[in-house]
Amino acid sequence: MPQKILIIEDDKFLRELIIRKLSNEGYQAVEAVDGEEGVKAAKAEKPDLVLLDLILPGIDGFETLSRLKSDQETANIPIIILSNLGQKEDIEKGIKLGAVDYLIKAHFSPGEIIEKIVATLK
Amino acid sequence: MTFSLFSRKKLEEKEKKIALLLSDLTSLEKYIEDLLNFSPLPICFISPLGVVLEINPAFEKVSGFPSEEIIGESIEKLFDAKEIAAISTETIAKGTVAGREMELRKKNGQPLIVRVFTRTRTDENAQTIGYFLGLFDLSEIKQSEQELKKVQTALLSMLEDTEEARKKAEEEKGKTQAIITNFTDGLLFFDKNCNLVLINPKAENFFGIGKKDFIGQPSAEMTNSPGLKKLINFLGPKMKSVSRQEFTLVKDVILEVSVILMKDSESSLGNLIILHDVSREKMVEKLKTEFVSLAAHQLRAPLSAIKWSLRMFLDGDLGSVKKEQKGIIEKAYEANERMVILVNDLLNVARIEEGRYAIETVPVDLVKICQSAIDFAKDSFKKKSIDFEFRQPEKPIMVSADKEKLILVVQNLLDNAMKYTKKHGQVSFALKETPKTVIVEVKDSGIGIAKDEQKRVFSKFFRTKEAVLTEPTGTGLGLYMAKNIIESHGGKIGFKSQLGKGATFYFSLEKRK
Repeated sequence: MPQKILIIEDDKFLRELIIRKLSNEGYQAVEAVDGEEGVKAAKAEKPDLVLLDLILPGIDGFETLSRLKSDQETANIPIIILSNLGQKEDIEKGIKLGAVDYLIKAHFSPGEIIEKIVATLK
Repeated sequence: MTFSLFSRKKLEEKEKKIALLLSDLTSLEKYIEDLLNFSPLPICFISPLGVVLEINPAFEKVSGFPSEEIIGESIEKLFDAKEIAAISTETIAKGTVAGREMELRKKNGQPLIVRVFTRTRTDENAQTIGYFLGLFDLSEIKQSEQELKKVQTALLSMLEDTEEARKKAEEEKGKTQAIITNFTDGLLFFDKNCNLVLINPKAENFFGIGKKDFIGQPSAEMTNSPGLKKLINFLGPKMKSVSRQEFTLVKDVILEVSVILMKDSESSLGNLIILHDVSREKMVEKLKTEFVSLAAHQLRAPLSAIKWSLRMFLDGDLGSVKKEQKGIIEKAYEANERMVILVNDLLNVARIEEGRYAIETVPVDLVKICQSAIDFAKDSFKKKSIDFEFRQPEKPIMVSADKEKLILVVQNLLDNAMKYTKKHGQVSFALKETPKTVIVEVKDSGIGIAKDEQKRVFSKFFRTKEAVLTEPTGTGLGLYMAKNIIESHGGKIGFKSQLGKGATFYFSLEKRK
């Protein structure tokens, strides 16, 4: 069965690109455009991994992250943060809140993101 | 016969009396003669017609004339005719003249200033038979008078000079005071006992105090002004000599403090503190940095979109790509990658500038930091067939540093060495220790730096001409950032180089005890 990846990203173009890449690589992609939708989708779809942006409309990425981690149903799903914020404080905060990795979108191509997903799901 | 006996007795008595009188007279004459001889004051007796009848030895001495040469001569031999005539007339008329200044002509022609006293002598019929003339040698007195006059003139002259000097000093003091009062920086002066002796209006402004309340107080007691107290604590009890250190008075008020030790040739006079307001500059810096940060983040979004789409295109994720198309898309991808790197560097620089005074230092092993940077760079050196040598120290070397930032510095030096050294060149990496410091040295056999460009090597965005030719894609931010980081650790960074003959870049840090 193909592995399910949930992408929570508000930028339509980037979202579409990543979904296309995921499909090409044989993953099943689920999408959400903001934090609230993301939490709902995670509970409903139970993905194998979540790609989470930090700048989101409504509740921000960190808030979304804590909610996912504190809800029993979603607490065990590995979350990789995909963001263009790159300050040391942001990275530390993300890891502290439970993310397994923090990737800067401008530094990682979709292919490299897939590699990270593969490594995490091993 | 009794009559003649009586007469003879009377005669004898008279003769005895006469003898006694004669004896008295002789005694008296002798007395007068002795007196006149003794008198240190020159005295002479002059007839009403002006003839010298008598002089005493003192008179001989003062006039230079022995008595034979002057007795019987006119007094005009010694004095000016007109002057002595006037004296004479007055004497005879009034009976005495007291203290008239005249000029005596000595025998050798020398004039002598004297003070003259006269008194007449009259006979039984109150006829003037002549007058005494006594004189007082004023020459010595006159000389003293001259000398005193000279001294007086000299003193007056000195007084004038002193007065002028005082006026000048007052003027200078006035000017200096005007400068101090109107100086746009705050000024404080503490004397050698650390008492406040001077504070100008600008300084009063900074601390919100009036000088009256604080002048004369020792620095240790200035608790009424929290701002002033903060400054004193900042400087320390001995008022260490600092130059343009930044001091935050309150939020948003930042002052550059300089302390200058004032002394004359021997001892300390005190300390002058200069406070230069840089709040505005700091604010501008802060805004600039925030802007760069914000802009950089905003730029990353479109750059990510371009990167992802071009990469997917090249990887065939968007359908097949013709060979001709691939080449150009690769170029586009690479150009975008350069922008990503530039934006990253800009962000790093902005962060460095922002956090200039807030680096977090922990004890770290510098050797480990260097080792990890080297491991990262080893492949690039291999690819260029550059002979890389690292003399690894056996023991750890501990420093207080911000690990993340320090690694950036080492990476930058290695990166430069790699970029600017041609194939088959040499790069060596070494750590050297002195008792208190550790020095990291990266030496390369690369393009080197021309003398006329060396001053600007650490400037923001600066790249040498050779560097641009060798490696077109650099940002010119690496060394600027490295310098900032090293200096906020309290270290020093520098280099030695000759164009065409490679470069040795080094930085030093204090070791942790």
